[in-house]
Amino acid sequence: MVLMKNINEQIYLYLGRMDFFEITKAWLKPLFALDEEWRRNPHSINLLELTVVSGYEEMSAVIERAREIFTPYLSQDELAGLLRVISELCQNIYQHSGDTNGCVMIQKYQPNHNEAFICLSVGDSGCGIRANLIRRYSWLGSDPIHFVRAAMDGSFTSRSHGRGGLGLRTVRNITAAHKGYVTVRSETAAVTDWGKAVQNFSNLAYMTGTQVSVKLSARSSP
Amino acid sequence: MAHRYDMRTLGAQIGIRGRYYLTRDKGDEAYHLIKEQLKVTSEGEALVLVFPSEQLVDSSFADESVVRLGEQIAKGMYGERSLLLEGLTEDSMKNFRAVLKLRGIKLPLLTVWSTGEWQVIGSLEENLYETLRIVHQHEQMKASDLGSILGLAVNTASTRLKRLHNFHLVRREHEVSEKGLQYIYYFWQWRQDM
Repeated sequence: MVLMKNINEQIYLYLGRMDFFEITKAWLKPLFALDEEWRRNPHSINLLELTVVSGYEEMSAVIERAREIFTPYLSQDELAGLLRVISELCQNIYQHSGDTNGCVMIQKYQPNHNEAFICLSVGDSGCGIRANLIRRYSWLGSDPIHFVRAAMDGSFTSRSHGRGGLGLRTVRNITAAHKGYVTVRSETAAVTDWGKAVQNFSNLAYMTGTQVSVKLSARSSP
Repeated sequence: MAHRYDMRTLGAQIGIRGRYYLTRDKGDEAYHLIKEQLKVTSEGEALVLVFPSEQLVDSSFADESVVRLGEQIAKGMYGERSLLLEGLTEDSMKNFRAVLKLRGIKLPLLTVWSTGEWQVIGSLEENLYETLRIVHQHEQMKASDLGSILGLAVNTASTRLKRLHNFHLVRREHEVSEKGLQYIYYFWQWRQDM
C-alpha cells in the first residue's frame, strides 16, 4: 500500500474529482482524507475523468463520451484530431503494454476568452516501450531514449507482420497541426515533440510503463 | 452488378460497438472477413463495403483492413475485382487519407454514396481524375474515344486508361475486331439500378 500525505488541498480535491483515488484505491491511500469534494457534474463539458482502458469496449466508450463532451467546443477538424489521438493512444495501452489497467483522462482548459486547450494523458504501468521493441530492434542498444524516439518515428513496430508503428507518429502529426505538443515518457527517458522542435530527456527517475501527455489548441468557447 | 457487404454484419461478427470501427486488432479481424467476401465476388464485379451512417473508422482499422487489402488488389492478387467504400463520413475519409499519406502509399480508393456520387481518396494525378470522370459520364470508354474527347493521341489516351485500370478504379473487357484487340473500360457499379 502506498500512502500519500501532506497533499495540497486543491490538488487533493482535483485528484478526487478526476477519480484518481477511486482508480487507485486497491494500492494507494491518502492520509488525512478530506470530507470535502468538488461538486461533480455528470454532464461535464470540460473533462473526462480517469478511465481505465483494458480493451476495445472501454476505448470506444471513451471515444463516444469524448465526442459528446467536446463536440460543442471544438471545430470538426479539432474533434476529429482529438478522437484520432484518443484512439491511437488507448490502443497502445492494451495492445502493447501488457497492462489491463492503463488509464486515460482528458481536460479542457480555457485560460482566457481567446484561447482554449485540450490536455489528454494516458498511462500504463506495463512493460514499457523498450521491452516492446527490443526483440525486433535490439540494435537500438539499451538506453530507453533510443526506443522512445524510435516509437515516435513511425517506422518501428512490435507487430510480427510488420504493419503498425504509426500510432505515435499520427499523434505527433496531429499535435503539430493543432499547435500543441506530445510528450512520451518510458522508464528513464522522455521525448517532447512540438512539431518543429523536439526535446529529449535521458537519465530521468525510473518510472515503469509508458505515459503520454498531449496538448492541443482548440477554438475558444463562444 | 456489385457484391454488397454490409459492414454492420461484419461489425457484429467481430464485436464492433455501434458505429466505431476502431483499432488495429479489429481491423485485422475485418481484413480476413472482407478477404473472404472478395474471393466470392465475381470477376468484373466490385465488392462494395457499405458502412453505416455516422460511422467512425480510425486510421489503424483502415490501415489493417481496407488499405492492406487494397494494396493486394492493386498488385493483381484478386484479378478483375475492386473494393469500393460506400457511405464513409468525412472523419473516416480523413483517417483513410492520413494513413495513406503516412505510409507513402500510392493507392487511390474509390468512395461512393447511395446518391450516385463518388470520390477518390488518396493520391491520383489530375489528368487521371479527369479521365475517370469522363469514363463515369460515358459509362464505357475506348482509348480512341477518349482521345477524340480530349484531343489526345490514342497512345496517350490508352496509357491513361491503363493506369486507371492498374489502380482498379475502372474495370476492363476486351473485344477482337478487324481493328485487332481493343480494350473497353467501364466505371464500377455499386447499386443494383446502375
